[in-house]
Amino acid sequence: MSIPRLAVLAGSLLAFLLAWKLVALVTGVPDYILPAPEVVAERGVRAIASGTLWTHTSATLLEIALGFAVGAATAIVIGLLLARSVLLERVLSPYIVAAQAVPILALAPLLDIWFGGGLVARVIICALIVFFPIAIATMVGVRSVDPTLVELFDALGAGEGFRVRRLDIPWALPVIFGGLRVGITLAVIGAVVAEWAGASVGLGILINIADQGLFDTPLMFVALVTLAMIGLAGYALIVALERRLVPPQR
Amino acid sequence: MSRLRLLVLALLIFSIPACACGPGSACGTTGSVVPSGSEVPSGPASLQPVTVLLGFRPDVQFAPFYVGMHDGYYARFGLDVTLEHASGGDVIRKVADRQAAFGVADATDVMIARTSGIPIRYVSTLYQAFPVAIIGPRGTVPTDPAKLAGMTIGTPGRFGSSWHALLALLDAGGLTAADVTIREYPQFNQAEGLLNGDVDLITGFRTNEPLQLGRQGMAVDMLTIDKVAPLPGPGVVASDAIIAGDPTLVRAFTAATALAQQAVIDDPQVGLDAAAAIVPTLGEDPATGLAVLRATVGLWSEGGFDGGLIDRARWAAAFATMRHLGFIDASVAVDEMIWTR
Amino acid sequence: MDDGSRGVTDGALALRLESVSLRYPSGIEALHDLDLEVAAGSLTAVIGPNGCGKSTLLRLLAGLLRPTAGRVTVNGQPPRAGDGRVGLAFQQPRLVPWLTVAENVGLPLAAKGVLAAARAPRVAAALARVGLGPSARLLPAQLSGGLAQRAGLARALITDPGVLLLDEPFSALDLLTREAFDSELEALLVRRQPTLVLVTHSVSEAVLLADRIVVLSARPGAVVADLPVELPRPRSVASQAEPTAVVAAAAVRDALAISHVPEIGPWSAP
Repeated sequence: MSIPRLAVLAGSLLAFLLAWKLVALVTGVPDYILPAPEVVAERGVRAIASGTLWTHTSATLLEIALGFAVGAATAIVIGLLLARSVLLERVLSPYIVAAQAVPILALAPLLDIWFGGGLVARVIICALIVFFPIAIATMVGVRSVDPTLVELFDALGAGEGFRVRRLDIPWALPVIFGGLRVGITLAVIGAVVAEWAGASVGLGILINIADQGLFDTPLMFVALVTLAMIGLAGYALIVALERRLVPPQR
Repeated sequence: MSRLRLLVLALLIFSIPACACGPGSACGTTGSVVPSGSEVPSGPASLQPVTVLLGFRPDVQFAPFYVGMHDGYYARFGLDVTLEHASGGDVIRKVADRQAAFGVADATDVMIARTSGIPIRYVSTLYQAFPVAIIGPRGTVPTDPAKLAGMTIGTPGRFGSSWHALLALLDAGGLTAADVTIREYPQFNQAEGLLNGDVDLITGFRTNEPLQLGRQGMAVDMLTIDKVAPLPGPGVVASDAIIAGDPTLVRAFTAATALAQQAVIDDPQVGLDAAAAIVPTLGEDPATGLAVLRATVGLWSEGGFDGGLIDRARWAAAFATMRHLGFIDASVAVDEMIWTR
Repeated sequence: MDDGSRGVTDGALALRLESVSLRYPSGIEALHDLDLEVAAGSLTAVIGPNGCGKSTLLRLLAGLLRPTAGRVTVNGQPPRAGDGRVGLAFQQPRLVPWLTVAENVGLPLAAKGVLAAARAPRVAAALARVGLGPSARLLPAQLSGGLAQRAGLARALITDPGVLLLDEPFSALDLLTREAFDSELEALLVRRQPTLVLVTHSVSEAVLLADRIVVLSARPGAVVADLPVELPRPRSVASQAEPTAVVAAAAVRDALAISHVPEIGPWSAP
């Protein structure tokens, strides 16, 4: 009775496209408001053929990869420190939470200027958005380490590094991966927000140019669909990594 | 209804020439007659509701619309105007889709939108002069566009009127975007980049950035585009459907707006008062508001305000420039992009 | 073995607690002015009501806690966690769930930076000692309770400690497994003989295994009785029926009654 996974995926995709087409048909909205799926597909093929899509996609992919890597690595380190030091948590967490509450859209243009624009600024903006869920997940995960195992490691005279590597991280890994799943999708948003703060190429820029410059709504949808696919691929990558890395638990 | 339309036509015919005659006392008189509500020919219930889409946030540059509402110009023409705001691209889409009857958009954007198949036309001129200029610290802005080569220029992005003007200027100097370094400021904060020393020059609104930079202690020079490569400025846009279905409405709205605009040209304080009454935040810094408005009035009426009439020759020249720059092709003619009453 | 007492090996270390008190930051005093000496190579069972500070005593000996007053020494030196002189087997085996049995057993060496290649033979030997060789590659979740306890014991023994501390190591096991394991432990200890301190609830277990039974009072814990068990070795489950064992068990129960616990402890079941 189990339907193959791929068939489910293809079926749901088909249903989505049909629903999209139906909405476009029934409402009768023009292509410049809601382009039908085949119009977007046709525009996508042209954008791929002309090389436009890849130019922008490769720039955004680089920002997502670097932003996520920097953001996740910093978040895990800070999350570990916060988990292990109550004082540090008390000192830092108000700032971390406040920074998360500040709309990054408003902050991004300033960050862009502070960090001199360019890729560095965009990676920092993207990393900032990625940071919060992963840092919090790491902190919560490490805080949940079984205290009897902590005592075991104490009894073994294990050093901090050994404990972090062999107990804290493996124990917290399922929770950290929860944060990473959220983080990778935020990295996609972060890259676009960063591009909107100042960039020449990237899918965020393509959206702006298509939407505000060329009045080419189908091209804007091509950029949106590409972003969605990057998000899905990144998420799938994290899930695959999780399957490989997360240790078996009781 | 037909009586109202007659009245509208009559007003159109008589008031526009009266105002176009120049900034004389006649126009001041027109402005001062309007406000009393009792002179509106019909009760408010019979006013035709009209939604107008302005740029992305309230600003004194929209004073003609505020005055039109506040001082009864629209009511006199049988219109009940509601103002809404949207970004440039959305103004054009929403107006084309009749989500709003009219909008304010850049002429160059109308050319591109129309060419890409969006059924929209430019129906009335708001700015006689193109508002975008190249701005830089005093003494550093070349007067010859060819000398822009090698400089770093901050601009919001590779779209919109700033971009079109920049390319037109570069082109006039025999250059392309590849001959300069472009730095994007999509949040329109390129002035900060200039103050920060990240760029040599910026594109900006003649009414806005020089004032903003001046307050930060930077005296500036400008390279304006008008003498080099004339482009039409922002104006009122409407959809083909509205133009074909209710041309009287288009005439009434553009005429009322032109009258209100003339009133602001005659006395910017009128515009500022209306702006402060309709958008209270605009009254918070009246000195700056008035300064911006005075500069704006200068752009509206550069070479003489003529009631919003469209300069077809300027459009034809701009059409050629935009084609040459590759923004549009020849599939849509100039006359399909504009509508003249 | 011939005279029923255990010989002292070179590796076994003596323990000493002098006027030891321990008060937790919460204000609870777990131990009060406790004096106890444990000879090298001896096997001492510590028994007492719930909350008498038995576990606290073991943590002091393992170097996990420092006394708030008095002095704890292992062979004259204060114990330091992880120095390898003291092995500790917990009440629950506390195996790291994502590590194999072999990795768990090798953990004390890994924590001290011993490289994998150097760990392997010692892990294999420790596993063989408790009969876990075939289970080396299993994960803790795949082990029965008894096998998991053995893995915990192998881990405590891998550094060849001079002192082995057992914190109710059999309490989680059902009686059958427990008695089988007791004799395994007995056999093991006859071979290896570190100084052994065993904390237990079970009077019969204490009698079966120990040379000496120390009875602690209710909190704050202090020694209320110190009884020798003169039962010949090797002992087995059947040894419990011997008159010496019966007498010793009765003496311990008397001492526990003096130490006066209202609630029903596991020792009072018979």
